[in-house]
Amino acid sequence: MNKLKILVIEDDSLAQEVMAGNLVGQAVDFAADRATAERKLKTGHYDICFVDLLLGENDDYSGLKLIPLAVGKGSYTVVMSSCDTEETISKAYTLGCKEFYVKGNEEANVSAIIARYLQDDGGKKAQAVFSGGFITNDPATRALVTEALKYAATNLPLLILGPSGTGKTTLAELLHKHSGRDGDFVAMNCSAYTEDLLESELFGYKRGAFTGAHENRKGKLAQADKGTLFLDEIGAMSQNMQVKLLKAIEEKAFYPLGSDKPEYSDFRVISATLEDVQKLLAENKLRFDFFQRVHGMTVVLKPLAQRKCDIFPLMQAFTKGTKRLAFELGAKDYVLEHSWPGNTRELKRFVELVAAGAQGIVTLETAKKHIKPAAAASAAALDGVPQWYYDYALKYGLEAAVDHLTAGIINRNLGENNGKRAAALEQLKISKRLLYATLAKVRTAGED
Amino acid sequence: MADIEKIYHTIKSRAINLKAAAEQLPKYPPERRDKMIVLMREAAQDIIRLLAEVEAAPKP
Repeated sequence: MNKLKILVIEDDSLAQEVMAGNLVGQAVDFAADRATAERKLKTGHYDICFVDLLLGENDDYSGLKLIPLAVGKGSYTVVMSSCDTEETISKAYTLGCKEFYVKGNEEANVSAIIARYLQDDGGKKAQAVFSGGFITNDPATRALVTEALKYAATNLPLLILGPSGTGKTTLAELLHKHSGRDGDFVAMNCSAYTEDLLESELFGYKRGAFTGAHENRKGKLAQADKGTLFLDEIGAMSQNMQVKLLKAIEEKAFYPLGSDKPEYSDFRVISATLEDVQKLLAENKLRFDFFQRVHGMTVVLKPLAQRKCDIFPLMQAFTKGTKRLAFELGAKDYVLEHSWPGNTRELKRFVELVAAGAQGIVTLETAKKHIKPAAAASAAALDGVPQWYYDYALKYGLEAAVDHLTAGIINRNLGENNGKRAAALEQLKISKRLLYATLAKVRTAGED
Repeated sequence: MADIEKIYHTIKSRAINLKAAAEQLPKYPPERRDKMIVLMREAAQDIIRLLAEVEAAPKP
């Protein structure tokens, strides 16, 4: 990263030294009085300008008079002062300063200010975000994402709502990238696990905690230390898990399965769901206290059908570095008319199918071949579910039906491979945990 | 700002800087620590001087 050019306007030598300590790694310049500050601001360019208001014992707020100059020169101007009357704060903001903070907590404040500056680098960052990190030309979505990015560098939880394929994970990852957090982005889809598996995935486990736990394993909470934990489909989590997770989020401490010693992790939570949160709350599927803890700021992403201006830019992004496509007028209209119920996921699949064909020009016929009308698509998806599975789910619940299906597939595969577990792991592309946990469940069910 | 208010403000400002410096001092590289200590001592002496001025000022 290039060094930021920073001017610190501060008369106190000790305060200058403190700032120098907090700005290590940046190109820092100092001015102790108004005249020097004016000269430096006029001749140089500074990304950020920290301004103390009183410069000298008998000074009359000359720092305030420097704000318009710093702002006019395009510096991200921050007032740092121990003089924090409402009048002074209001004056400083009126003159154009971006932030006002009271001296005394520089270590935390300065790093947060730099992170915020980097997010909002005069709109340049935003342009880069919308043409790469989160592709959208839709003004409302741009405004939402920009707003969310303002919270990226904070520890506040974020809740992302929106139908499947609208970019919830992409946005969460983008927010992590702009958070300034050193740790990893750890994503987890809560609907992909049974309760027991979810617990071991989240909290980790110690050797011997359960059948098949042959070694200690870090959970997602520990993996997300100093990073971001992205919980997708939080509505799929049981009430019991919500209580456990709530405690872990609040205390930043948790107990891995089979451990009586707590482990600590400094993770930030971003969660998402495609379901109606109010309905989840009303149906008691989502605990109110858990919801309160995870919904600091809420972002609602629109489906692709409501931001059709993004369809072709997204297609361009999907084919970047590979075969580019050109659409005939009729094909273009057909693509725009489609409602894209699967959103970007469906769009991506469409692009892959079309690009795999021999022609670079997409005709109406090709478009029609690969785009299924929404009703037909959803009917096709349902056709694949045998009636008895559907009945089983109605009788015992979806989770039990999924467990049953999982166990059936694993058993069949093991039978076809003469019981070779390594083959099942490879062919079914599943984790050891899922395999052993399923086998343990089957055994328990057999014993019962 | 009246004179006495300015003195109070300066005491507050010096004390805040002193606190921030004290928090940073353990993490400071040895070659810069001595300079920091000198500056902290100066700030502390300044606070003592200013407190004497407050003492000497007419009581409200």
